[in-house]
Amino acid sequence: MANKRLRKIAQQGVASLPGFIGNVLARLAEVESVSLDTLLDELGNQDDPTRLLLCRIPRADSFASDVKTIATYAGVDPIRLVNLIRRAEVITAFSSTGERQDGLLLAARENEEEDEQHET
Amino acid sequence: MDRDEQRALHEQYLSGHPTVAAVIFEKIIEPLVVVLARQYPEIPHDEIEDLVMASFLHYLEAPSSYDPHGRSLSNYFMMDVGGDLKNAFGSARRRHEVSIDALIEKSMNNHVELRLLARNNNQEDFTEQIVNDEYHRQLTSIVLEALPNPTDQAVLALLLQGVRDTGEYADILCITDLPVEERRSEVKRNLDRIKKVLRRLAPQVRMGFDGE
Repeated sequence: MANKRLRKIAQQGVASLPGFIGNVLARLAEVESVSLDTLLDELGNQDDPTRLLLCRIPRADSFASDVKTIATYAGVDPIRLVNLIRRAEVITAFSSTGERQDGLLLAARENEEEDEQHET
Repeated sequence: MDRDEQRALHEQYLSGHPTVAAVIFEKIIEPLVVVLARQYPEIPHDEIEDLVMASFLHYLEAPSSYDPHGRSLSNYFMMDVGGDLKNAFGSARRRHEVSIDALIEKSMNNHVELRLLARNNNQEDFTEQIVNDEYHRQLTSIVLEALPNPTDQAVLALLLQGVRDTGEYADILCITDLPVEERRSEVKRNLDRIKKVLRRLAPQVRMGFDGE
């Protein structure tokens, strides 16, 4: 009963729903300027990623077992899945708050200035 | 998948279970599109898919919009999409009365006083009737509650259209890979089961509507 178009629009739809793997991967792909397919390849995903993209991100209090459940259900490598999720979390943490980015840039600039002063 | 199983899926979804949305998609949403496409052959398939998907995504975002103590999850989606389909289709169609008991009787020689209205060409149209008419809303509700499984509803839709080709039923039941004899046997088993449900339903329908 698999319907390719329906699955495609499900994949696209869930990309905008926070809390879903589809959303996590879509954001990661955007930030890293790669295609979703590239990330899916990285996960070792099969032809149809619908199951994976429609999964919700693992719950904090049952992270390991949720990852295992998702990996088994969607047919992906659990270690790679964790790596991608962690990568997305890091990127989200920095990209979602402009202040943090500004702060980091400011700190980096100050360090550079201090280094220059020490050199002179 | 019966009503309790669907309720369990909903509860799992509320609890944050990681894979249940995908299960709902495969077990309920995909079969629902098949059911609606058969009931609304005039509406472009893409449009039906878009409407069903919008309903599904809305549910994923706001699962509390579904009351698990009311209808089954599959019926919730069907009702939700029904209004949109009605708008998409318009209300300019003539409708003809047809009795499904004639269809049932023909195949199992058993009279069932269950009547549904159908539009032209004997195409059953549950959802529009739900919206348009209280009688049909109640009648449809009874039928759909008795057959909450979307696959069963798809089989029923075929049955009501008088489809006799085993292949079409096998396609809906996802058993096209089985050997021919096994496939026939499985189709027959499912049809018998659904007819049995309809037979059991007949007194309820009489009580609900004939006694008015």
